[in-house]
Amino acid sequence: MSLDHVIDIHDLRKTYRDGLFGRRRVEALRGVTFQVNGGEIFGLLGPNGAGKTTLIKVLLGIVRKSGGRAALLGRPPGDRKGRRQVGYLPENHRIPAHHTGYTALEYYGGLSGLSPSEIRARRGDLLELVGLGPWGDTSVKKYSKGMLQRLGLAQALLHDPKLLVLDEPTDGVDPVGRAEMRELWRRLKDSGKTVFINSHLLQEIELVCDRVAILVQGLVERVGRIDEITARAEIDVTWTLAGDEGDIRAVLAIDSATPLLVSENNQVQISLTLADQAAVDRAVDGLRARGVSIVSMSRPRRTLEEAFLDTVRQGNGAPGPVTVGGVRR
Amino acid sequence: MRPYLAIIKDSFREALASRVLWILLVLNTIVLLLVAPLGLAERTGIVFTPNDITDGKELLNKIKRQEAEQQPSPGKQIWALLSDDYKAELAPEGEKPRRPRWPGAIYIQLPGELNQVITSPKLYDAEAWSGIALSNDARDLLGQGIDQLDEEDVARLNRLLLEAAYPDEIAVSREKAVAVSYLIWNWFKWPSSKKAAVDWLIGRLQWFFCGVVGVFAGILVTASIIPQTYAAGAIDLLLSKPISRSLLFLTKYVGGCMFVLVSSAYVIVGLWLIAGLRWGEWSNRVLLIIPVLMFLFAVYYAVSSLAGVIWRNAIVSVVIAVVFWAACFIVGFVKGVTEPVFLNPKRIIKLVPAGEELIAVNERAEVFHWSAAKGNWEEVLATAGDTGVAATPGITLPLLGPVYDAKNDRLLALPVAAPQFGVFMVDNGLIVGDKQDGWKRRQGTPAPPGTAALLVNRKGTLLAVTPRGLMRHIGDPVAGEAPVQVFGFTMPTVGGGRFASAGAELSLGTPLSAAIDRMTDDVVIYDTQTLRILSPDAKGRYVERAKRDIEHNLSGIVAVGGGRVLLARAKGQIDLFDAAKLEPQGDFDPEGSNTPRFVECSPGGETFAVLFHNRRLWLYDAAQQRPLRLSISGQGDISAVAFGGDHDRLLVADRFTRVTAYELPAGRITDRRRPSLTVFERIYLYGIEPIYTVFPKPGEMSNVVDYLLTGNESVAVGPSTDLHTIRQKLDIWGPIWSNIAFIAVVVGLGCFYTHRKDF
Repeated sequence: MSLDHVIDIHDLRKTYRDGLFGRRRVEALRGVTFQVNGGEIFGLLGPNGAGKTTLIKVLLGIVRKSGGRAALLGRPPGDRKGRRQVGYLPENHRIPAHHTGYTALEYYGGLSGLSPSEIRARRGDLLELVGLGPWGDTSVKKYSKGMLQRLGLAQALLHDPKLLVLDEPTDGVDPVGRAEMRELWRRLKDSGKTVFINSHLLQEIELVCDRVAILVQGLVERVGRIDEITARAEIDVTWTLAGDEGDIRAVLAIDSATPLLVSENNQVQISLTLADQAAVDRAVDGLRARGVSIVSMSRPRRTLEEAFLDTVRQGNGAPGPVTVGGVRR
Repeated sequence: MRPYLAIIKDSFREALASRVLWILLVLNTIVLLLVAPLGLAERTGIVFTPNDITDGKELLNKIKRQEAEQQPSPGKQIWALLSDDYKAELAPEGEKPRRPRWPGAIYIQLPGELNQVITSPKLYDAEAWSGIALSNDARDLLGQGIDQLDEEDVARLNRLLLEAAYPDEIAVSREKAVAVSYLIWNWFKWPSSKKAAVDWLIGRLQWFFCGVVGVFAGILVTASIIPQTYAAGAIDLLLSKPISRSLLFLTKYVGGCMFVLVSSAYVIVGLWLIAGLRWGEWSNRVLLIIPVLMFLFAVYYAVSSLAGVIWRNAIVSVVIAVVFWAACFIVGFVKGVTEPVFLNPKRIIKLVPAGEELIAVNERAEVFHWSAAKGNWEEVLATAGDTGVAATPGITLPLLGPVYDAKNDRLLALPVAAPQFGVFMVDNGLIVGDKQDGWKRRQGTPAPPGTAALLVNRKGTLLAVTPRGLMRHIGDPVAGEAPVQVFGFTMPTVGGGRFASAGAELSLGTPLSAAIDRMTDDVVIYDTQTLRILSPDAKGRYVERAKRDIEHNLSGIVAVGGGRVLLARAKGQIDLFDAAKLEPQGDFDPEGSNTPRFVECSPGGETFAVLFHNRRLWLYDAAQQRPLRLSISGQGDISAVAFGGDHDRLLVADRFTRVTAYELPAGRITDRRRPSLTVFERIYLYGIEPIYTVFPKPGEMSNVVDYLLTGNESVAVGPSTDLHTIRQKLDIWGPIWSNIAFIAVVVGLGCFYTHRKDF
């Protein structure tokens, strides 16, 4: 377990017991392993019921693990000193209705061990930072969902934690607010803090996260950098070619039964999946050798969403063997 | 610590956001504003109570006789001021009453009529009172001129005039009265000291508005605190903070309690200020009620909190707290009714060793002797069946005695009316039972008016202690003719012997207590102000040998023996005096302010025993001059004590009808008389009592409040100031420990649940 890893999880398991006398068992985490490095923005992805929130709750000690090991800032889950350095924004969090923005920060800041004077010194700037500057004295009963999310983020930041754990942080926040939040996370990262985000919004994760883990049915299916996750062995290439149709079919090995899309100016548009870069090179060489003009050639990248869906579909199929690291092969 | 202070602060914030709280505070303010105009002013000796008229029949006879005479007299003056209806019912001497009435009615009305009479400035007439010795107070008031006196002073003067005119029939007033007014209206006068009235009033007000309404409202206000804390989305946020889960629950619980503490403080401090500023009674003990109320709330809130953390629903919390309250009420009610109504009347309160026999008297004044053959108590003297009144549920007919006349192997007793009936039950006769007749009851000589104690000396002479002094019985105490029954009451007839002065003419206040030294025949009498010792001369006539004024004007009971006199007073202080000159020899307060009920002295004067109304027994070793510490079983449940015919035997009654004999001074149990229990007693002892013991007792925290206000572990049931009269015993520490244990268990469960639960 490295001290460089802000979060270090090894074969983590959690089984809930349900029903009369706890006879029904639900395996929420089935042996999860991954690490989160200090100073990075890490995204945890997964479909509903994958175990993402359970994983966060185990890390924070809200739920007890059934097996495996986990460490948060080098300390066991639930350790009070460890929690002192964590800011947490739960999914669908509920701030009691008798609070205003300021009193909520007083309450949660006090729970984090801050003195009233420290809280008073920080709360104004913090509410400005999350976009609630004018709303500090307003009852949270009058807050919209997005405003409550911002207030939740403010309370998570109030005690200047090293690690920020955000569960669906942009839920209910408008697009401008989301952009502001993303900017804020980047700034936090730049200041050396670690941000751990659990979100369904894949575009957002893709935009901001350094690394992600994809959790499916209590197992980590993929973990790595975004480009690693989205990368594929095959290469998709879209061509716009001008030349003899027979030459094109010959070089690109397209049989005569497959119709080609030919534009009015006799340009042919083709999308192909080639095995690797060498195959792309060979195709380009062949086309040029036969006098076919390459009007355009593009290689569209796979999105994180596509990668996620592919992973989930694979993960929802017959479960494969689980590696020591919990990553399915 | 800071996180937990933040939680408590948040509990306050949450409670303050509750509308119910503000409604409650407005209601409390209205109550305080309604109480504030109430006026309580203390007056001395104005109001006539039934206790004050020691011989109502003779008093009316005298008034009627004086009215019929020509010369001015107090009776004439009074007659002129009585209401017409009352005069018609009485009819002057020689005339026929307007209509026949139940004879007791005129006596019941008498205190009220006299209370009207004494309001008149026309009562006093110098000629009418000529030749009557007036007290210094009366002379002072007359010296000021009746026209100059205010309403209260006129009543006071008239009361003193009546006391002087009828010393045998009207007791010297030492009681206080409280004049109750509201804004500009004078309401009524209450026979009580102002402090007692204020304590009573505050006790009732706070218990209703804080203890009942306040606790219920507190549960409504705070019921949402725990469920909201543990709601999904809220608890995650809290548990992510660096705080202990168990302490989170505990702090939330404490926060709710603290909120109620502040709320109840508002009312109690308000009442305390009204009592001090408005009524002049700065009773700081009132403020101690604040934590008691919080403690009471804490019991219910523990249940509400546990339900809140398990079900996370405020409505479920309230419902379960109310169900719990109902369960506590039912258990407390069953115990509270069973013991005083069905079992306490059977409690032995007096033990009289009679030769080889042991006689016992229970709370209903039924007399028994122990039948060794049957292993049970057998009724003798048949007091209850004959009087009729004692057999009526809820009415206790006190019994003076029985005293044992060893010379004639005879029991003598005097059924006296309870104080509330004193005005018309004045001419009871003695009841007599001889052993040779199987203690069969026989009607005896009528006792002197106001007889407060019966004593028998070594010669077998029966002595009666009355407000006019000591009387002795001459002749055969058994009545010559059979008693007659009037309206169900036994009216004794004159016959047999009679009572005559035993030598000492005294003027004693009431209530009074007396005891006889079984070795010297000296008699000690205490009448709330003066302690006297009377010794018989060669002719058997008693003369006052020594007397000592005692401070504080409190009821007390005495015992004498071995050259010492023990005086136990109403506030719990026990004083010892030497019997020669009544010089103080020491004082004790082993049970704090608790009121003593009986005192006994061993025949040789070696040991004194004081039994308190909290049913605890205290022993004093006169020879060693120190308290005698013995392991007496049933402490807290002891109802009677006596010394056996032998000098070294202590008899103690507990568990209603059980009597245990202890050898002194070792304290070894030598004998135990234990009748078999009835089915009802078994149900009580093995069913109701254990359930009651393990159940929390929030409702009985009112006992603690009464104790804090009075410092006494028992409270008077009626208006009597006689210390022998039954008082309701307050269980102070039982509810406190029981509730502490309950809170600890329930809150502990809540902490454990929070600690283990995956949220």
